[in-house]
Amino acid sequence: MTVIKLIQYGAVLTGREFGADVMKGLATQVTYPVCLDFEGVESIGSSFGDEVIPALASHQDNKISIKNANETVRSILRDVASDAGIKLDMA
Amino acid sequence: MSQHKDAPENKLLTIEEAAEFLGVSRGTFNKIRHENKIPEIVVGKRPRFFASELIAVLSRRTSSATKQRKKMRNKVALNVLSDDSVEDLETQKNIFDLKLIAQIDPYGALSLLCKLIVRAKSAKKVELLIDDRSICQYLKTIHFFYHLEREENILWDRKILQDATIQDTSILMPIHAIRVKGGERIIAENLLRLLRQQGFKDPVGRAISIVLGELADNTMTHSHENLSERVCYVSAKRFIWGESNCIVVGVADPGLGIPTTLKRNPKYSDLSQREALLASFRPYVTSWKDSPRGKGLTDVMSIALGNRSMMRVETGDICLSMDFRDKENPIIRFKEPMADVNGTRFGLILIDTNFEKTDRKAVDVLISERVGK
Repeated sequence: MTVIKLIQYGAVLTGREFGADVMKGLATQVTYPVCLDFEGVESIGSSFGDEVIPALASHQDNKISIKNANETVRSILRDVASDAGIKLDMA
Repeated sequence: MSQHKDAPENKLLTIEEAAEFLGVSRGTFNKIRHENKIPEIVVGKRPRFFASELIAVLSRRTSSATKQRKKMRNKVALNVLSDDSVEDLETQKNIFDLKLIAQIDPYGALSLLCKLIVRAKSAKKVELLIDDRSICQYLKTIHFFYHLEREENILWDRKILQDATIQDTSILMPIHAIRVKGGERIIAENLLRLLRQQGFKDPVGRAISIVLGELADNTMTHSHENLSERVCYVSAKRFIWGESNCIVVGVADPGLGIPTTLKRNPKYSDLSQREALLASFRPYVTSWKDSPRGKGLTDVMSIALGNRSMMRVETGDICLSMDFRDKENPIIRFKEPMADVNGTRFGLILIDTNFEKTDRKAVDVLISERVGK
């Protein structure tokens, strides 16, 4: 499983366009399945999450593994997953 | 006291008569009529108004004007919680006396900044009266005057504050102008680090970074037709409220304003300005057609609700005040704006505590109830 360390994009991940840019970059280089590692990430906005999480999950049966997410990040991820109808596996 | 149907206050007036009675044009009367929800009865398909209802409106307007005059003589508090207005500082046309400010927080500072910037676009000259005392020193320290330097026709005596500096550890973030998307993330990361150094709990700093991210991103996406004109001002300050350590964050832009932007979506084009502002906090309400967007403002409100704090948002001449301190009785109400000016101003107080945002459904229910009223 490919682990994507999101801290490479910053500790605060907000903004829909930024999320779309990140996803564009990921789309060309990742090998599925992927797991998202939020170590060092302080917060995430739902607009950023909307652009990244469902797009990645769509390649792996609408499921995605999450690790090292703090409670603030988890709370937003739950909203994103609920909207997109995907399943989160939060370690 | 008995009331007779022929008493003057029971007289029924047509629109024209009612406008004349209040001494305003027909158009202004119609505005007052809707704003004040003046009761009317229909006679032969035309509305009629009781003189007594108009007297009540007149009385409220007079009381408001008296209050305004009273404020003019007194010191002015410009913060999230206050009822004062930046117009109280305008002692003469285009002359703003900043010496009258007794208290100011980031929300007040950004409201004043936007008012002056917008005024400077239409006036030949705007003059600021300042002194070398603490409030003006504070304004200099948070870079308030620096951001006015871009406006050539705003004048003040720069020598007065030339050597003034104050050490104020309550200033967490002086006024920053974000002109490029993504700038807010760097600012939010720096603020988060600073809050941690100052002993704030992590959930507060993290929540603020989401608030800054969502609001600034909204501004940089919607606030002006012309990309180069888009600017978002942010600032933050800590303070003690009761026994709680708090942070107040201000986010503002002198752009189009939320209702104007939202009403571009035909689905919401029939809403009044007030309805549009309220609706913008509901999940999935967005200016984009057929888009799953519209969650940023909901998330900001769900943070305020979860923190049981206070929030205020102004756009144009509308101000929405939210007080969530009492969990069982959250208050959302319209009040007089601090600055009647284009654009949008947010003020959010967060209490330093461990908390979680509420879910979006709670926000939706709350707004729906308010719309129902």
